[in-house]
Amino acid sequence: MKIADLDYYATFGNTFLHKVPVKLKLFDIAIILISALFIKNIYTLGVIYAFLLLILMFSGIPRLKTFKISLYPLIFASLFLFSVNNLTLPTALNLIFKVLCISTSFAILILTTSYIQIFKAMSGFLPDIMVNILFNTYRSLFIINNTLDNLLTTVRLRGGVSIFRPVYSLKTIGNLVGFFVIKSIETSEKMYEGLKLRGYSDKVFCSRD
Amino acid sequence: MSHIHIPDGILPLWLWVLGYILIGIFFIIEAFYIKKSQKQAKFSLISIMAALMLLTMSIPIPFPVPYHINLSVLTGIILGPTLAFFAIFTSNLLLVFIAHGGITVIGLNTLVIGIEASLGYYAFKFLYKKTDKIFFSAFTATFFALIISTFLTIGIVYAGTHNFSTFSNSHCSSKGVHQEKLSVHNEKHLDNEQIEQQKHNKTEEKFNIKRFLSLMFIFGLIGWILESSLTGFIVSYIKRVKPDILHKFEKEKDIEKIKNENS
Repeated sequence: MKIADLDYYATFGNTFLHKVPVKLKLFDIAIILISALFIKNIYTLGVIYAFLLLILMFSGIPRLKTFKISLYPLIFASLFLFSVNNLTLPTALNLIFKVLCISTSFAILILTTSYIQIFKAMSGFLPDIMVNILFNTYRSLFIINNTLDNLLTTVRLRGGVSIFRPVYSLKTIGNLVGFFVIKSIETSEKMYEGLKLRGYSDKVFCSRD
Repeated sequence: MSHIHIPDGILPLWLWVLGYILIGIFFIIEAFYIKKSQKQAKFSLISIMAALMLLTMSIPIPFPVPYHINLSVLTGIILGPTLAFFAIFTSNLLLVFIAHGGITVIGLNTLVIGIEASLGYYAFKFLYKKTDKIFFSAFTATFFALIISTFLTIGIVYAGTHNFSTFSNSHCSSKGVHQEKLSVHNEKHLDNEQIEQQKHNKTEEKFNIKRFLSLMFIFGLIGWILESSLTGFIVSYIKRVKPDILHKFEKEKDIEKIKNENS
């Protein structure tokens, strides 16, 4: 799922989870994270995961998409599990439940809370410089995403990239990304000038609730 | 491909907390330096590079194994060896917030990829100054940085997982029973104890670093070649179309040329 889609669900969704205060959601996430990290009993972990799935089922957010997103870290978990000698089922389940508990809770969080609200909550403990960069990155993502989409469409229309011509394809992608980098740097310069003109003083103030 | 692709809950607390502490100290020092040297104008460039790292991950690479480029060395080349850490931390944090996983390893991930970016920057600077071949310099610098950072990743994973047997609860309990059995045997039969110990070693769950290393190298090698080639092509394109972006390297190269001519 693209970041723009995630943002759409988070901003325009209207479920009961959208109405829960952000700080409370982050506090819940912290509890789930600590539990998943320190609990070694697979039954307890299984119960936490089942509880999260229940929330997902009845929350009204897109179930299948959220479930799919939450499965992504399993790819890395499997790489680790393949490297364990004499792996037993309880150990594998223990790890899988830990991974799924954390990823599902984060998936629910991002689909019900806009990034701006998350960054605003994080500004309490992150330094100004990081909050600045986070807000600007989030803004930049949407600005330069359109450029990338257009570039990818152009490449597809002109023959695109093919697995049968690896060097040519890599060169095409290299040129595409090179052009994208140049465009993005130009955009960043314009963005900074625009911000300065509007009174930006190297600090971001967030008033959106 | 040098992310610490280890999910949450595997690495011990001391290791990932150490990662956060180290990166925290680095950011405090660097933030002070940025304020002192009035480099705030770089914020938007850092942000753009972080956004670029995230967006280019979605570009499809024509290869049977799904692979994404992370452009860390390119970020190092454009932003410099220290500012690249900020872009890398931001992209790691945002990746966690799209359920990529690994909130506990953000600190370690930033350290590893940041070191990769810094090494890439210095290797590129050195090679470009010496050879004047842009593609070769970018390719070799990226390849070298990726190898080093993969070894760093493996070292971190090994430090955190060589004591893997403490991970599983069920295993701990069986180990306890096993220890009891062993103590009974100690009193009676020494030979039986050795046999028992061998059995225990055979059935013990152990993280196999060799297998992990080979998996990392099989996937890593393909990734290194792809990433290095792409970085080479990207830097060559930038040099052709907008050389201003690489002006700091050009300046150093010119100084080196003048020095050589004079000598």
